[in-house]
Amino acid sequence: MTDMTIVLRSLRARALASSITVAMVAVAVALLLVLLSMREAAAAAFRRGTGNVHLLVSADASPLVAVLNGMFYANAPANPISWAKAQEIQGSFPWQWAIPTQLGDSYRGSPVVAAPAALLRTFEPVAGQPFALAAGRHLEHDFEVVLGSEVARSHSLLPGAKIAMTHGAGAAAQGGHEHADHLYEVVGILSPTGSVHDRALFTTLESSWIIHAEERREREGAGEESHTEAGHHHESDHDHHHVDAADLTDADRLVTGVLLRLPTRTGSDASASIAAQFDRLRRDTSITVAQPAQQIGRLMAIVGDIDWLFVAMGVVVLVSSAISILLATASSMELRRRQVAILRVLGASAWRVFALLVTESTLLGVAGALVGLALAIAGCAAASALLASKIGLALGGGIDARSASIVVVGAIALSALAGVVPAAKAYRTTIREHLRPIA
Amino acid sequence: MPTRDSITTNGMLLRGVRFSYGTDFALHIGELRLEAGEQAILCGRSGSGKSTLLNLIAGIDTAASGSILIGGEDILAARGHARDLLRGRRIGMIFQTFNLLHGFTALENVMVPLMLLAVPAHEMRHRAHDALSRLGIDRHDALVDTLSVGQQQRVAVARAVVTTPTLVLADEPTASLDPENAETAVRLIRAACSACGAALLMTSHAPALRSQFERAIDISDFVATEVAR
Repeated sequence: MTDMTIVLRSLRARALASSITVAMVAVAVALLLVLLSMREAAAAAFRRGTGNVHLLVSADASPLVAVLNGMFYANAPANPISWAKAQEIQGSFPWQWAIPTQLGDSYRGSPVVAAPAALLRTFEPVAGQPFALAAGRHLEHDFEVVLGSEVARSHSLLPGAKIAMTHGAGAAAQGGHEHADHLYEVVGILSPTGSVHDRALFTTLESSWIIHAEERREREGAGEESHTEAGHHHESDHDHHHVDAADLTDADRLVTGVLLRLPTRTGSDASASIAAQFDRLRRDTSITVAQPAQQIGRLMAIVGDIDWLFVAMGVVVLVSSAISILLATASSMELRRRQVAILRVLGASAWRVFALLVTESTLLGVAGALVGLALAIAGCAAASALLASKIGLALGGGIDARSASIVVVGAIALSALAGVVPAAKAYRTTIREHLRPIA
Repeated sequence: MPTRDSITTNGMLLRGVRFSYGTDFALHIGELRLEAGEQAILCGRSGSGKSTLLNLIAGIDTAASGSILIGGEDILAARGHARDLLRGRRIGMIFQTFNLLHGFTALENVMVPLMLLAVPAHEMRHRAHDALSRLGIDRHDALVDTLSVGQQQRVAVARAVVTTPTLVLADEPTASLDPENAETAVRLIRAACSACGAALLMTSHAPALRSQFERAIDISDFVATEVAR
């Protein structure tokens, strides 16, 4: 028999009210923790996706759209860059590397990145961590494809599998037609990188150019009448125009972006020339130039303002749960004044009774915080698994330890504080009045 | 025959106690003694101030002046936590409605006063079991809500005597019982107090119970002013 026994018996006597209060605190804690942790994880995941690219050139409307489309595969870039322009950019500076990319096709919702085979060897999806092959080999020929880990996992693809790409990416892929005449052979599967690139497929530029060149020529050959249908229904009775790499013209060689990295000192990711090259390229009004890391920073600043609103909502829920503890304890006080009076008669000091009441509300807070923590861990794991499979954003799925400490301690402190008012009432309970026989 | 010194150290001694509710009611006790182990009934009609006197002795109400010695310690002079501790250590209380802690077992109810006196856990459990057994309770781990009224009263008596107090104050413990059960209850309480050597002051407005006590105290002897209440 201890003071804690008295507290636990009191809570047990009000099991329903206690459970509801614990649930309210748990939901508030879980909500806050998930918001805070996902916010941190999302920021980290976005920072990871830009990897070791210093500059991105595209023909998108704005630098932020260029980064979201070109590096996070939000949508297929709307406007292409000519091969001549891409080569001009490549030759305009002694870049450490410059890789043209073409986006626009997809495989069951996952974006296809057409680029020189060097992309998988030089581009690091996470700075300092290059792509690694989990199975198979890198690209050597056209119509080969290397899969990001999430694509291979979610579609159970192994090296040797043959797949057909769909015209269009993102929302545009819905209703798009399959390039069924050209199957790609899976030759390699990448190890997970924890970035958005895990849900991408990588093939050569020429493969993509050839497919689109054939289709363009078929459309042109079919004339104006069939033009409206051909874009969406690849009919088998169309005339077939076989194209190989030698037949490609400048009109076929379109790219949607150029990834650039400036020379840096060993071990350093920064270059003093980034700003100068950024300014120089920006003078060309036909292209959009973005510093991916900077754009992601801006995006996080915009999103940050919004998600602080969610955090504020979480805090409001937490405070309201503390108020519910106060109300639950205070309303039960009317029934418990007799118990308090009995304890006082048996020798309990007013302060001891005060402490019992505060301990009771604190325990509700502790239980709620622990249940909330468990819910948040499960919620974050589920949310991160969902985001990884849907948009390839690897959030890690863990709870941010600092946020967890602050929220849990805050919830317990608020709960303890909520117990002070009813405890003060108990402190002032008049023993004589509450020991009288019940009428 | 106890000496005057033994009374002040082992029994109860009220001297010069004055207490009033505004101008309506006042108690003035020049001297009231209860020797160690002595058992007395405090008589008077309902609302005559019997419970008020018990509350003053227990330190629940505070007299304006005087001294209330329980086992040689002045509960009136003690303040705050010291008074609560003194009450817990020196006085056991039995109420008409038992005032047991609902949701607690019989054993837990009896252990509470020992816990508040910081009796070691093992000794606390042993003494509580012993007190319950001596009063004929065998379901020590039953919730008090599940016990019969008679058993609940025994638990209340066990709780009052488990601390081996100097004085047991019983406030109308038989008020809701029929005469036969009232007599049984009084015998039970008296026996329990005798067993632990505690003095007993029991209030009752039932004249029939006077005969069970060697000493009867009339509350009207101490009421200085009483307007119709």
